[in-house]
Amino acid sequence: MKQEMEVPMNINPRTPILALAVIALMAFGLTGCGEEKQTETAQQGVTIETPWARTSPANQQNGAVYMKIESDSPDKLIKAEVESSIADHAELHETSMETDGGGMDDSMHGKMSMKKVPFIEAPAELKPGGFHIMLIGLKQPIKNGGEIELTLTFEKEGELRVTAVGRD
Amino acid sequence: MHRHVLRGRPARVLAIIAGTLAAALALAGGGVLGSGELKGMSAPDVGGGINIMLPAYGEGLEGQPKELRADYGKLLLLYFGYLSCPDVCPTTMSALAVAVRSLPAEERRSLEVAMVTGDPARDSGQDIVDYLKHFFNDLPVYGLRTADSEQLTRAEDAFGAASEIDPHKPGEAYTVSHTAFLYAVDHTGRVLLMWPFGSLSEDISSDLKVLLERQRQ
Repeated sequence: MKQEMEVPMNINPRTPILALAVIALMAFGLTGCGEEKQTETAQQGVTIETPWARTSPANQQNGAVYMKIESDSPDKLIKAEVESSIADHAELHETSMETDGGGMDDSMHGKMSMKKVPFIEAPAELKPGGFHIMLIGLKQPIKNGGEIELTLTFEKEGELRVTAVGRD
Repeated sequence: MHRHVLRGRPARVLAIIAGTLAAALALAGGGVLGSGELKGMSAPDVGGGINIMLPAYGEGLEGQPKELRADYGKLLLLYFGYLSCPDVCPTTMSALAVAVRSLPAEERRSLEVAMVTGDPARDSGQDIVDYLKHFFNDLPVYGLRTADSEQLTRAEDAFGAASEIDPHKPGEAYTVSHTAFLYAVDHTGRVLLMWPFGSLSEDISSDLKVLLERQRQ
C-alpha cells in the first residue's frame, strides 16, 4: 500500500516516458487484475440456491439438506461435510421408487428406498424424494431458522461453504 | 330503462325468487363439496385395518393391542415408516402437518394420527409417539410397533404396504425401504383414501375436508 502511494511521487516531470510507462504498467496491471477476476468468476461456476433442512423431532437421528445447485458447466458434487456439533457426518443420498414390483402396479406397491451415491452431477436440484445430503447422527434437533454449516466439495469447483437454514 | 326499474309487489316476488335460487345454488354447492373431487387415490383393493391389531403406544396405551381403525366418528391418518428416515417420512409428516394446521379446530378434533414402524429394532413405541407429537401436538397420536415380523407383515399386507430393512453389515447404520402412502382410515377400518408420496399439503387438506364432511352426513 505504502509503495503504491510512493510511485506517483517518484515520477520525474522530466521523464514523461517513465511516467507513461508507469501509467501503462498500472493500466496493464489493472487489466490483468480484471482478467484474473473474470477467470475466477468462470471458475466459480457453481452457485448454491436456497439451501435448507427440514426441522426435526427431538429424537430423529438423521436429517436431510436440500438445495439447488446451479453450474455453468458440468461438475460433480463429490463430498459434503457437516460441522461435528450438528451431526456425526454427512453423506450424499438419493431416494427413489423401486420399480421391480414383480408385475404389480409399481405406483401402488413400489417402495421408496434410499441409497448412498458417490456423487451428484451438477447442475442439480436436491429436493424431498430425490437427491439430498443426509445428515447422519444428529447431535441436536434442526430448529426452524437454525443454521447448518456445510462444506461441499465439487470435482472441478473445489470446496464451497454453505449455510442451510432449518424450516418446517 | 323504465322496464328495469322494479317497484312494489313484483319486485318483492323477484327478490324472493332470486333469494330462493341463491339458497338452492348454495345447497348445490355444498352438495358438490360433500362429494367433491378427491386428489388422493381411492383404495378399493386395500383390505384395511379391520381385525388387524398391533401393539400401540400413546393416549394411555402402553403396548396394548389396537385395531388399525379410527375411533367412532373420527378419521385415522395412518403411515408406515421409520424414525431414522431423513427424507421421505419427515416430508410426508410435514405435508400432513401443514394440511392439518390449515383445518379449523373443529375439524382437527376429528383426526388421529398413527405410525407403524418398519424398524422396531431402533424405534420404541414411545419414540414414535414423541416423533408424531413434533408434527401433531394437538392431535391424538399412536405409535404402533411390533417386534414380530410376521405380525408386521400382516398389518402391512392389509394396507398394500411393505417394508424391508436394507442389507447392511452388523452394527452398521442402515436404511429401511418402504412404501410411503398415507392412509385415511374410518372407524370400520376401511381405507377411504390414500395419498402417495409427494402429495401436496393443499390437496391433503382439501381431501380431509371432503372426507370429514362426508362422515358428518
